[in-house]
Amino acid sequence: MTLSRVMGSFAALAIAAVSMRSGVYAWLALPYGGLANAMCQFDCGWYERIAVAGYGANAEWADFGSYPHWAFFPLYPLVVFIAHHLLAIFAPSIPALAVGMGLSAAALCGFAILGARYLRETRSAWHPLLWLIVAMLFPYGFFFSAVYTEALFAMLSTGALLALQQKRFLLAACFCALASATRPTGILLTPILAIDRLVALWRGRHRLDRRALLGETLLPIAVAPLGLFVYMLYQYSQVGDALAFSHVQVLWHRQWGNPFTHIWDGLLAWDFTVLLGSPSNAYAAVCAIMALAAATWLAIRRHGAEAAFLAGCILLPAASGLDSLPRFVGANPVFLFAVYDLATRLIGQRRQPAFLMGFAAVLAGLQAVLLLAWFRAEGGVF
Amino acid sequence: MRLPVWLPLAVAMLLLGFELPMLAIGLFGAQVSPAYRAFFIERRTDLWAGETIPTPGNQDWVRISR
Repeated sequence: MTLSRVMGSFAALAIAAVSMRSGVYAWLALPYGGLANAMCQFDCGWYERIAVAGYGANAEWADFGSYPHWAFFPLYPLVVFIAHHLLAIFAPSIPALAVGMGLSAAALCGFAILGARYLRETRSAWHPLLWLIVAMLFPYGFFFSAVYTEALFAMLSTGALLALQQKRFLLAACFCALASATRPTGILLTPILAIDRLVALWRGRHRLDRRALLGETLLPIAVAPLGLFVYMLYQYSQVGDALAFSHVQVLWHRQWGNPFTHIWDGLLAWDFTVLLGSPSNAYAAVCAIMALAAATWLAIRRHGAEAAFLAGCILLPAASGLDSLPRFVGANPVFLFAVYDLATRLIGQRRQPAFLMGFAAVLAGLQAVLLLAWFRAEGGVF
Repeated sequence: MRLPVWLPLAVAMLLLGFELPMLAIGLFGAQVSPAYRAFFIERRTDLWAGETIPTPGNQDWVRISR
C-alpha cells in the first residue's frame, strides 16, 4: 500500500476518533450544563471575548472587558471570529464557543495527521495506531478540544517541524509565522529554522550561486517571526506598547527570573497536598522536570530541533513562574512525540493488540479523571 | 517560470526592514502614560490597586482591581 493511501486511511481514522471523542465528552458533560458550558473554564472566557468583540475595553464584558487581554495571542480568536461570521450566514444563532470547539477539533485532526507523517519520516519504528492513541487519549489532551490555542499550536508547530524535515523551508517559515501569532512560544521555532538555514549558508559559502543561496536563506528567516511582529505593530498602534503582551503578564503575577530557580523553588515547596484544590508548585515543577528529561532524551536520539523546541516551550514560561506548566507540558506536541517514543520501546515484542488496548484504557481513564476535574473547575492540576 | 534570483533577497530585506525597527520600538519606544509605564514596564505593582490606567492612542484602558 502506498504512503498516500496509508495516510488517507489514517486521516479518516483520525477524523472518526476526534468525532467519537467529542461525543464522549458531550455525554460526560451532560451533568455540567452541556459540552460548551462545561469545557469553557479559565482562559476560555478571554478567547471567547476576543473572538466576539476583539481587543480593547468593553464594559459589557466585566473583567474580560477591562483587564488587559493582550497576553492572549490573536490567531486563534481571529480564525474563530472569521468562521463564526461565515457560519452565521447559515446558522445565525450558533455560539462562538461552539465554533471555537469546532476549530480546535479540526486542528486536532490536522495535528494527528501531520504528527503521523512527521513520525513516519523521523522514527525507525512507525505505529500509526499507537500515535493516534497518544494524540487522542493522553491525559492532558482534552485541552485539544477546549477553546484554547493548544490544538492549533500543536498543528502549526508540527507542520513547521515536518516542513523543516522535508527541506521545504519557506513552508516551514509560514508555519512558524502562524505559530508565532498563536502563542508566545511560537517564536521559538524561528531560531531553530534560522540556525538550520545559516548552517546551510555557511556550508555553501564557496558555491557560485551564493547570492541565490543568500536569498533562500534569509527569506525563511525573515518570514518566520512575522506573526509576532504584526501583532506587535497592532499593539503599538492600539496601546502604544509593542510588548504589551509581555508587560501585562504582571497581572498574572509573572515576574521574569531564572527558570531553574523557579523550578527548584517549586520542588522545595512540596505542596502536593493542595493539588486537588489549587495549583501545586511542586506538581508543576515535576511536570517541567519530566519535559526537560524528555528534551534531553530527544537530544540524545539526535532529534535536536524537537529537543530545543520542547525545552524552550518549558523554560520560557518557567522563567516567569510555574502557572499552567502542567498544561504546557502535557499538551505540547513534542512531549507527545517523546511519549510515543517511550510507548514504541515498551511495545517491543509484546502482543500488540493487548498492549494497545491496555495502554489506551489507562490513558483514557486518566484523561476522563482530568476532564471531570476540568468540568468542575478544580484548577489544581492544570 | 523561474523567479529572478534577487527577488527572495529583496523580499527578505523588506521584511527585516519592518521587523528590526519594530523590535527596537518594542524594546525602547513605548508611547504610554507614566502610570502604565510604572505599573507594567517598571513593574511597581504596589501602586494603583483599584485605579484605572488609561493608555494612549484609543479608548483602551486597564482597571487594576487586585
